[in-house]
Amino acid sequence: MNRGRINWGKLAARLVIVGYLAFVVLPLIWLLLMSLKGPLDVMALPPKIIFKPTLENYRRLFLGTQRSQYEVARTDFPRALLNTVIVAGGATVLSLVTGVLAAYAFARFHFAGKESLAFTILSLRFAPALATLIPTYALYRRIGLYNTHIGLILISQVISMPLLIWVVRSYIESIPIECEQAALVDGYSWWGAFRIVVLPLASPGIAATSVLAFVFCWNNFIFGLFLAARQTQTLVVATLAFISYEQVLWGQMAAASVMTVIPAMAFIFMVQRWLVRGLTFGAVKA
Amino acid sequence: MLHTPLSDTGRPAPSFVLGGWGKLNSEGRRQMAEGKHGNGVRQSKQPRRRWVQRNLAYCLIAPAFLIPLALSLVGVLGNYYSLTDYDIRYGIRDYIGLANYVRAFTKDRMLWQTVWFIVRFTIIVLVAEISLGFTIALALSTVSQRLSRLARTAMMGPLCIAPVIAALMWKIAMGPVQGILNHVLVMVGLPAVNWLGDPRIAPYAVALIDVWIYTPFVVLVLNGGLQSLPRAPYEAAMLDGASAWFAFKKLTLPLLRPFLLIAVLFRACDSLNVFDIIYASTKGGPERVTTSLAGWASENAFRWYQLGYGAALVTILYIIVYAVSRRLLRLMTAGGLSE
Repeated sequence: MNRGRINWGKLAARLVIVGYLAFVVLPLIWLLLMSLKGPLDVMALPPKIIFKPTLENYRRLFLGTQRSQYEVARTDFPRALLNTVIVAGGATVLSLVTGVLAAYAFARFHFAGKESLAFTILSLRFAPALATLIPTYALYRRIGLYNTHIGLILISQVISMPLLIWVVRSYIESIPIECEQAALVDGYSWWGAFRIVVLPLASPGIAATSVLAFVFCWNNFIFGLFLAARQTQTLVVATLAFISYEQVLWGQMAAASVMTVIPAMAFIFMVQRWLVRGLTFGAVKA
Repeated sequence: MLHTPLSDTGRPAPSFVLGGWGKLNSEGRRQMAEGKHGNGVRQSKQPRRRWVQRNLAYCLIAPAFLIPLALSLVGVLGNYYSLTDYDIRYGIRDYIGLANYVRAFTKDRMLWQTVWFIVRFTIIVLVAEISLGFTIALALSTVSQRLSRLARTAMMGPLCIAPVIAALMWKIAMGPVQGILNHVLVMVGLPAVNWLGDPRIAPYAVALIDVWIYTPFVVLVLNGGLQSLPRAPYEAAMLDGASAWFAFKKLTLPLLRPFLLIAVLFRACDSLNVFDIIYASTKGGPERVTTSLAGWASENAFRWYQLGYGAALVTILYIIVYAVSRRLLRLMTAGGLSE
């Protein structure tokens, strides 16, 4: 009909999106390139688009810096990576094992105080992290959980538990209840119905939510900053430590950032379809 | 949701209350009551089993609740600490009542400054993120599927990067001399800006970092909302000859209201609590203009060892966030989004 005429609205929309994409993506590309540059190129202005890429920064990150023939400056990075895997993984598994059953109870049972209990859990998401962190610090110092993986895993429940319970609840609620009723009429107990009907149907959602919980714990900064010392330092804190008083190791810092981002990004891409519901705690069911 | 009536005691009335009982046909329900199948009632001869079954829901949430409950109790412990002179070096020496709060409200000039900062910061990022996010989400709904998918994939970047890392990245880019941002500005003939070093600009620079990190969240939420809009009202409006602007104002905005509120709720609470990105970018400077209340509390608690006073400051922050989120949640339920 109006072929030949330029659709200005569409064109404007396309321009807006392309402009916004540049704003979003360019810094990330810049960071990635920075991690591949040698010490001379890294801060050169104008930034070198064409340079000799090197993996030196990554090598130093994992193997340490060769100072002289026999002396190697140690690197904390591999340990921080391991710490973060343990803490984020442990926190996710703990929330998963306990949270899915709770989500099931919230979705399918009626009991006194249900909504207020659910909202108590949700309020952990919106409360300042310091509200739990400050007393936890005092407590951990006293009972010896300061600077331990267990301590970090337990406090990380603030992040992973509300997410898991609320999102999995919304997934279970979207499964038609008739399926379970059929199983119950067939003589299964609630556990049987849960196992053969609910779990298989909700498992994609549960998996996606666990991945999201893992990434949130992975990215968390404040707990690792105040509740861990060198032995249990997390990745994000370790990355920040590349800015020291004497010098800033730009290249290594960029490499550490990339190493921190890549697992999170890989995971998030896997669950892209379920992301919106996860991010909004089941409130938006797109 | 289905409803099973609660008994007078507030306990679930039937012994085995699955939400769906109400919908079971009467035959099934009779069988259930007679214990003809499953272990629903048959096993209830053993008293312990029966207790478990009656309180099944509580038993199921108990393990998951143990941890949040412990954390809530820890929060209460924090409230108690705020009434003491807890010092990391000496421990609790005295119960001092509301002295910490009195000190905060009367002597601590930084309290007002930090509250003013988080309020201003929240308003700036909310306005920027919601308007930008809304624009992008609307634009996404008009362009081709391919571009839309590409854009949504690219927006995963800021969403999954740790906020601290993102802030660090921007801090490097915003460097006054070596920063790439200033280089670009000078290249196009604009004066260089001392992004994070100038007290007049730093709050906006930090807000810009926040906008980069969190606008994709707003876009995804609103995009989800736009995709879930019903078709029929728009067709009716078109038949009636309504303009696009009219349809937007009278249909899209009210229908999107719950989604907008969700985005506002999440973003408002997170930016009132802001700590990470400020710690990584400015550490509260220059001249303390970007110190947030959370940052000020952590500084008191951990750098100057005044844990009790830090706990009091966090309690004040908690009350602010609670009031805001309560208000937004009320708006949301009033708007008909009860889930």
